[in-house]
Amino acid sequence: MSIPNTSHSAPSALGVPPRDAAPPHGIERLGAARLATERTLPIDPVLGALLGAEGLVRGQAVACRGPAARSLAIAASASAVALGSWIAVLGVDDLGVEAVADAGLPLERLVRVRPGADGVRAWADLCLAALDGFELLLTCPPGRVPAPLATAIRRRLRSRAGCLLVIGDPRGLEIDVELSSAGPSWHGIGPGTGRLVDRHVEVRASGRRVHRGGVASVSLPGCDGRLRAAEVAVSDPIRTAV
Amino acid sequence: MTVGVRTITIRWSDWPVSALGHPPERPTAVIVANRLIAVSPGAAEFGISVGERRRSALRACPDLLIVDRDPALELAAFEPVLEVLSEYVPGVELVEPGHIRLPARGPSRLFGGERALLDRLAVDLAELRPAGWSPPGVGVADGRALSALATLVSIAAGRPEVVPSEGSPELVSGLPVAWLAEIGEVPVDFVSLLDRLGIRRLGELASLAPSDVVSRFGPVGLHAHRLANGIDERPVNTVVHESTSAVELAVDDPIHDASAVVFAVRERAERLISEVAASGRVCVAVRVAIETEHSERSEHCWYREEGLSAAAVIDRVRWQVDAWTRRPGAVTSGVVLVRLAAEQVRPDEGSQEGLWGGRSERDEAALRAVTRLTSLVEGGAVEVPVWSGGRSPVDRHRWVPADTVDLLDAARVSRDAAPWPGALPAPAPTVVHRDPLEVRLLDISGEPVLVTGRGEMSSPPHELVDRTGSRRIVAWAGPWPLHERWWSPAVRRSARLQVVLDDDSAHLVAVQRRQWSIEATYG
Repeated sequence: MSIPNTSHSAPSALGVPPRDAAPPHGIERLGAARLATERTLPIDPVLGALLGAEGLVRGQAVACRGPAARSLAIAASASAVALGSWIAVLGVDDLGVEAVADAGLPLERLVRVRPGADGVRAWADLCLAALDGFELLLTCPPGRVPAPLATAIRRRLRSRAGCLLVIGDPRGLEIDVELSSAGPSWHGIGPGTGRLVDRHVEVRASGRRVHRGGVASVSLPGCDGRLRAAEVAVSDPIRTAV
Repeated sequence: MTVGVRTITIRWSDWPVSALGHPPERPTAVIVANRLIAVSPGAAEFGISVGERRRSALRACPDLLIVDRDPALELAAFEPVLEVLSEYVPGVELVEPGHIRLPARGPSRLFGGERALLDRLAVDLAELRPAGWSPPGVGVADGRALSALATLVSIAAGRPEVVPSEGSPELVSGLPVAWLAEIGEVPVDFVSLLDRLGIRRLGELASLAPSDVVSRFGPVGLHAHRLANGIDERPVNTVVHESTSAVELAVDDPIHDASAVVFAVRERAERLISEVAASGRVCVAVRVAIETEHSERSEHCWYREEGLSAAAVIDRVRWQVDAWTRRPGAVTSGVVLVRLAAEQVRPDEGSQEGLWGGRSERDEAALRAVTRLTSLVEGGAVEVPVWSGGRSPVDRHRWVPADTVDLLDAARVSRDAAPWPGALPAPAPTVVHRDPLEVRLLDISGEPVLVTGRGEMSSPPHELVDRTGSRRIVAWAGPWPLHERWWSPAVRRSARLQVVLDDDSAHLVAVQRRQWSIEATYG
């Protein structure tokens, strides 16, 4: 008997033609079928409204920027994971898992990949492997992504119909939508009083596929850890309190 | 094995360190997921204890040698011990390298009583380790769980603990409830639930009415309650059964590569475990036998109280093959036969779920991707969170390698509905710095801010100084005192503070041994 070795084959070098033409396990056909019926992944309604009716479109890359970039990326993926998608977190080794859970993202379908110190090339190989099986990939490139690698990732993203969420500077990755945060202010805490309760922040969507560049004022995180449409402040912003 | 039989548990708590082969006086520690799991006597002299983080241990002793855990190496070093023990009794169960269990009755008859047996064992075992390492904890009691508890008592006391058959309630009543989780008898979240209810000692659990315990906590509670009463006996319908389920992998072409053996066994292990699971049972002991073309043979019985998933079985095969091939001259040809036998099974009480069934197409795709990612990362890791019930936003979950847990078992991440008393309230920080960034916290006159033993600050913090410069603190809350591992004699005190800086960023800063550091950031 010979030993099957399909899963242990050498990592696909990026120089060779993309394996998308003949992927293993017939995922490609399933992916295509899925794409036909569900063009989008579920997303929080507040962010959905910001992005237009389509929400989180499969095959797209979304960059989350600004001081609340991480909270934004978590909020954008929470609904999809809650409804059965798996999420890989690649190269974001210091992600606070409690914040992820509080945001309503079930941890049982979250996998963290720590790429080690092998640079952008190794990271890109892991990106491709993750996109093969995960519908959501949350990542942060470890350096400038050369154009051929960015193209390979883009092609895999399209063919697998997943969603790529980039925290911070995309560093050469092709981005379809940008969600940026600005003007953060924390509430509930003063000099020696209270505690951090929630953060108000303005979120703006822009990009090729976003028709109207909308702005939303949100609590991110809100007092329960989730994204909420902005409410009346529970206390004065700290700027006025000091 | 019937229930409640006299059982000996032997546990070298520092085995992962001593297996490395360094002298005991050298400060050495073994870590898993950034936490120390074993320390050498040399490291203990610096006040370094199990459970500590890498960073804080290095602060106490900058020369500390820190090594990642390697179960195969530990097992290779443990083989001589297993050989000595096999002369006493054939049925040695291996919990992990450095932690074994054997029936007491047969050998104690042979050697003239339990005391005489333990004395002889102590002499034989002492010869196997260089002087300077602490002797193993040895516990003898009725049944597995009580003997495991007796062993923990023995490690703390530094001498063998023999619990007479009639004396079990006295042994357990004063012990912390957390020890039940430590020996794998109950899940960690069960302990944290009891802690929230104010039940910290097994005696307190024992004094509750059994009917209340069952209605509130189900079978897990009942089992814990019986143990707390010193009864190591599962109810009649849930006794551990001998099992005859077994699978075999026989190959015509000998396999010469250890990882290929493990890979080839994978499917067999999954079949064995799902066969056991199909009858609503959990496999708690698996016998792994490996044979080469030249009829060399390695055989161990692996025991795990929580039950063995397919991934756990595969891990044990990997350790066994690796350890075997590392022994010089032990293996001279390729592997031709691997046999896995589920030796003992017990009914599934819900502690282990999701082993089979209920997989969606997305789950399958993700599991394949995890396998592939695991084969791709070098110097990195593929990990998933598991609930560990800590108090701070930093350690309520811990990350474990994805191939060591059942990925489809949602219970591994389940959280208690309510947070711990003293826990920091939501929101939780989105950035948890793996190595906390050391900073200075100064008051308005530029003096360092300190936190007293009673959790009060010397003066209000005014600015935070790090390598890049100084930022003003515009708001702050706390301090929240934190006493980690309250059951351990080496309690480490620290306190946490939430701060908002003048650039509108918010951070969680902690002080320990007078050193402030940014532990997490609300990004």
